[in-house]
Amino acid sequence: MNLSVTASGLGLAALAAWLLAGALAAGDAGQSLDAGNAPPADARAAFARPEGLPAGAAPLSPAVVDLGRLLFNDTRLSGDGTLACASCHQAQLAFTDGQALHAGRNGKPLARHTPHLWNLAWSETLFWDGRAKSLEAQARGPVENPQEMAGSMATAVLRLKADPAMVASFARAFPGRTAVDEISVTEAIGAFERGLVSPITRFDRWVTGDETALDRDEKAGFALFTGKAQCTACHSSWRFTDEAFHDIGLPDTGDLGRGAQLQLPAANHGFKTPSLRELAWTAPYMHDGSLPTLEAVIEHYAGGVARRPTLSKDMPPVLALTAEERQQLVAFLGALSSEEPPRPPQTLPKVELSSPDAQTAPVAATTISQKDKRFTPGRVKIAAGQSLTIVNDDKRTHNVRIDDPRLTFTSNAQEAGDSVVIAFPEPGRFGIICSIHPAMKLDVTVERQQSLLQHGPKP
Amino acid sequence: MKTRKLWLGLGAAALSSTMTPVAPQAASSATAIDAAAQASRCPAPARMQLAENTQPPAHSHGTPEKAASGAEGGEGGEGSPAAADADARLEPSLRFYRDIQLVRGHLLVGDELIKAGRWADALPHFLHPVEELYDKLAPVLKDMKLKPFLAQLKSLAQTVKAKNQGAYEAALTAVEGRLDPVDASMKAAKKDWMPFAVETALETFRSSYGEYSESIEGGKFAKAVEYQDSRGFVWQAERLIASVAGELDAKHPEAAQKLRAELAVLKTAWPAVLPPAAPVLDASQVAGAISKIELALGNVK
Repeated sequence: MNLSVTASGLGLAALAAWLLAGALAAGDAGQSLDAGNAPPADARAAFARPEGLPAGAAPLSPAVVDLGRLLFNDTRLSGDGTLACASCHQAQLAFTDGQALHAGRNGKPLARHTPHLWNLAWSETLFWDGRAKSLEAQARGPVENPQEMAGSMATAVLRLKADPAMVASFARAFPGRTAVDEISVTEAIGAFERGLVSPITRFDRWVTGDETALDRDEKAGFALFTGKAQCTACHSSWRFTDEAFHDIGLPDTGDLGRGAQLQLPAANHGFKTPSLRELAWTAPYMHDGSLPTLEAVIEHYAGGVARRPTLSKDMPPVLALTAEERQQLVAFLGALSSEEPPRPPQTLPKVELSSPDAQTAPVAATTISQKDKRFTPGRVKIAAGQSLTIVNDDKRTHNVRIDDPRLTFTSNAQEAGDSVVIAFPEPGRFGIICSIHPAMKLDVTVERQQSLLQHGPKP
Repeated sequence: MKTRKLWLGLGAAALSSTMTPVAPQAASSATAIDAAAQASRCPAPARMQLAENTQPPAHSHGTPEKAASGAEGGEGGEGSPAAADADARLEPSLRFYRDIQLVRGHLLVGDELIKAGRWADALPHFLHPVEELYDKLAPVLKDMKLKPFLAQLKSLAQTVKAKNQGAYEAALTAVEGRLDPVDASMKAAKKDWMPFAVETALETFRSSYGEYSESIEGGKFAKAVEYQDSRGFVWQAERLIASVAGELDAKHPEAAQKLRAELAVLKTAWPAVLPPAAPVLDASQVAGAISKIELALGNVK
């Protein structure tokens, strides 16, 4: 069956072809657990810490970070002057509040659990539903949420301007700017949060070759984590998150998460995969804070999952774990945490010089595959007037989204086998993501026809 | 301060002749406890020696050596070589379970302080289990295949530092969630649970004496934390005895009655969670009250 999709913005029409409606079920049926499958010997390499902050990030300025720290702890950002960011993200509690759900202004629990703030410099999106695309955008949210800090940035700026010491701090942090303003406030808070890189753990030492850093149970837990339990389907990378949104089968409280954010029913009940770094210090767990211990988390995955159509395809259909295996998984998860309550690093992290993706040259192609939560190829060039066909070769539900003033586009849910066709009439460079897996990125360079003809696109 | 000790000889001697050694049971957990502790199993001679030398409980916190020097030390054998040696010779499962009571005692009095809104005062009681007790518990927990709770203890302490009531309650529940299986495992491992629980309580009382004696200098309470520690230990020991009260009452009604009477006297030493202006009972009176409890329970087995 075919489905027309209209791209807004420039009024361009695109065509999305939906194919192989039954492929999803077939894909799931082919997914079986291979109990006892040990991970490859080099599996640990996939979890090696980066050298520094993501390449391309602005280097952190000590003055800006210091200002951000002040603002993070400043109650003047709240409406009644009683709450700061740090009221919920408490440094002593690993930047959480340790509670299932913090009480809102109306005395009722907030809808979602306070997440920790470690390693957000690498985040593609912020908030459990990913509604903020940057730390700066995120910083505004709680300040102006009527159930949280119940303030406004405009009012906060007025209060800060009236404080000579704070004005001086802003001047030191942003010497080229003449006034305290909302942009500077959010930039400083964002910079402070970017500096919150979790400390090196025993697991990290093991990854880099110290065989004694983990004990037998912890190593067995790693084997389970990367093997039988399939945890790495979502908890991947050194931060143990795929940055994607998954319905993991928690009880339905009416919170549709990413689905509500995208207005995409296929993403209902999807919440961002949390990083597992410093897990021992950040209980309770899950977006609703409903699981108090790591044992309860394992119990959920091993038997408490609510089966429904939106359940993530990355969830194992069955997960039977012995008592010993559960204990080993918990032991491993504990090794991802500092031995002492984690504190922010004393020195600001550097920025990596370059990323592997950035070094990849774009290839001429008009058909893109979505598989294993990646666009392949990840960088393409086409000629103006050509279209890209993006095929979901994955078992997962995907989505294609372009947020660009020259071209905005969003597909509906792209189930396994579905294709989306997007026309690019004008030259330029465009970024495509999957809204459900925002770490999936496709870089499209649209060249003038004359330029591309010299190379010749592949069919 | 100079600690003048009287006592414990008679009570300890009575106990050592009637209750010790607490024989390890056949259950594997008990074996694991004993193996993990790697201590000589000679509690009776050790305790007889205490009796003959009229020493205070050498394994308790705040032994005379420490009290005299004013040095800080941990509970259960830390603080002086003699105390550590005596503690090491304590029957392993008894030492382990006594230390569990000390952890609970710390949490109990810490919780009492938090309920009184005294977060800063409560903090030491949430740090002590990590700093002074957990290292000794860890290998035994592992051998008994019980879940560790170091991270939970640290996390709990952090909630107290942060003065975060909601997080505190959740973290306390998490710690208790790890301690409860310890109780269950010990019960399963010990064939004669009631006498073992009673003897563990007695060891806990002895630890409280050490803390109490160290808290007093010049006839006044100089160390509120030690006063509170001792209160927590006594209250926890009472809880432990209460948990076996049914069997104790049934088998030893007279002893149970005497115990309650003597315990009521002992508890007058701690009229509140904050120390009174002057001690209600001096250290020797507390020692005496504990020795009477020992005597009351001397025939319990």
